[in-house]
Amino acid sequence: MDPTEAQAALDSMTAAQREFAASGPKYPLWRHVAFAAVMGAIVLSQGFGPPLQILLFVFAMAAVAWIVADDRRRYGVFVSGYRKGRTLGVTLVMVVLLLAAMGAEIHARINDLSLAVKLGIAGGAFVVALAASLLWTRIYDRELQNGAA
Amino acid sequence: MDGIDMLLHAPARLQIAALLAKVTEMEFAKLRELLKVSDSVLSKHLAALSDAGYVALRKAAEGGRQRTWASLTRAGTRALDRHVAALRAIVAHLPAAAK
Repeated sequence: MDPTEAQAALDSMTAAQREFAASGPKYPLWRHVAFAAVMGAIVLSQGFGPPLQILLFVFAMAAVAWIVADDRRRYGVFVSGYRKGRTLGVTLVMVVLLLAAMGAEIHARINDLSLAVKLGIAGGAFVVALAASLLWTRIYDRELQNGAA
Repeated sequence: MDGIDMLLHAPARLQIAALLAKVTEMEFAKLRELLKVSDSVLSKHLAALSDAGYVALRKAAEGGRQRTWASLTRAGTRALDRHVAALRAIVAHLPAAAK
């Protein structure tokens, strides 16, 4: 293989990935909000004892399954949030912050803090998840546009 | 040639691997749309990649239809990384070759 052929092969890869970036998933704002609401619900579930804790958690898991199924049906692809690449840093930071929020909810439950405090923590988790989801998508789109293998 | 994978040498197969490297799973119809090839051509390429253990194929019933989902395996990811590194090494000689 000569250098020109090799460059053509690399260019064809980049072209395919850019085509995917152009025609691939375009997650609307409601999709980011739905994801953030689910994360907020999971965090909030830790602020209550059963049966509300279990109900919220089961609802959140069902919503996750629905979002994944809708992504697959709508876009013909599934991209895990835990994929390797430049997006992984965003995912890990989000997970750490959400785990901290869950810890705060457990603290609020044990110390019998008010509903307003619990909703405030869950609201913070919602904002973190929403920002992470928007940033993750932006980085992913840029990665596709750059055509890195 | 060191690192060049003859299975990925075919442009369509290289593009399939490059696309699957960016997702967890991609549906057959989406791959066909992106590559602009026929069902039979895509099936042949996917079968070759699957036989080599580079791609995993999964059939799932969705909305009353049978759909095929493809994903890149670890072996496929390693092969693609090696192949791309080899291509880049060849391209690094491009200025010299042009002289």
